[in-house]
Amino acid sequence: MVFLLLSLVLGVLVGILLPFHIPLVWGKYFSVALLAAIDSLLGAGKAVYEDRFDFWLFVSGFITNTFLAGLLTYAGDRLGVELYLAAIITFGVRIFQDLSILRVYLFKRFSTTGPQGVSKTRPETK
Amino acid sequence: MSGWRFILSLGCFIIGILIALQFEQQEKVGFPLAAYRPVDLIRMVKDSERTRGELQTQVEQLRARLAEYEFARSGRGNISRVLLEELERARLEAGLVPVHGPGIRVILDDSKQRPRGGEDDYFYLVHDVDLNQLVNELWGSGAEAITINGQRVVANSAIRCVGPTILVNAKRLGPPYRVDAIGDPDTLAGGLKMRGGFLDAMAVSIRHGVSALMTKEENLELPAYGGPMTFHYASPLAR
Repeated sequence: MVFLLLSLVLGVLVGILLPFHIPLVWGKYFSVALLAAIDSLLGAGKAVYEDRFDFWLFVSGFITNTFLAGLLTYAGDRLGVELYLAAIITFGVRIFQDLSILRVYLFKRFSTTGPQGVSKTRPETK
Repeated sequence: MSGWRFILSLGCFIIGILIALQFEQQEKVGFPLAAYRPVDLIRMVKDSERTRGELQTQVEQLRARLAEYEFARSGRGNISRVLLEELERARLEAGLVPVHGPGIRVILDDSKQRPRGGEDDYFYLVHDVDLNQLVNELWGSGAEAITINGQRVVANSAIRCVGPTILVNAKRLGPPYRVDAIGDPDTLAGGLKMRGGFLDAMAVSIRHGVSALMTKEENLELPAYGGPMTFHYASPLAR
């Protein structure tokens, strides 16, 4: 948990220090890609708690989702349909869902007086 | 250290970079005017106009104070008195002092009639071109100072149309337009009545109900130009 936040902060710092700016026309693509990335990450977090996290599944999902979102936006721009809205809504909804599930897991993990019999979240598999 | 920690940290890192870049870009773009709602835009325009009015009174006050300073300084020697006279003369020529004298007053107003079905309303309204032409004729007939609804027409005054109103010195004016000109009343009136002159040019509009009333006046009082006069690009050529 802690070093996830740390790496996020580190990323923000690096991003600020980078001498590189996103061109104006790419702004929309980057925002959609950003949402896709956040969505993948939250999905992975959820999978970790459900103990069905798969390294390559996450990597491929992260990359394809991000690029697919960008591609969808591009296609929408070419066709004159605001397709990126579809991506934003899909990712937005999923982000909220994953967040609420993650919240439940975290609550169960850190509270000793959780619902019956779930003071431990990750079932012992080994 | 299991694989998920490493890869999720990497993901977080990438997202952090994306967030920072996106944030910087949005900061730079700001909020474009086109994204505002019309209601907000109207409020912004009203606000700016009020600020502009306040600034204008400030300009007038500062100019008055400057004149006082100049007067105070000029009390010392003859040379400065000459300079001051020259300055006053230049001010008069630039339209920066209120003036009075005989002249004519022309009042132009939109037609009270409505255009008949399908008819264009062009000849029912007073346009910026009409005022431009009128001001031109007046200068040509020897007018020495002109105001439109109290806005002094100076060397860099623009008269132009914005929607239903006319801008003079970037101030919005609505009909009726009262044009005062100081000069020889007979010459000025003659200039407007001349064949092919202003009143001839307005004949079609006048037939459609636009009113153009001309009166000779004994004593007109014209205010000074109150707007800013800034020169960002032009600077005097050394003689």
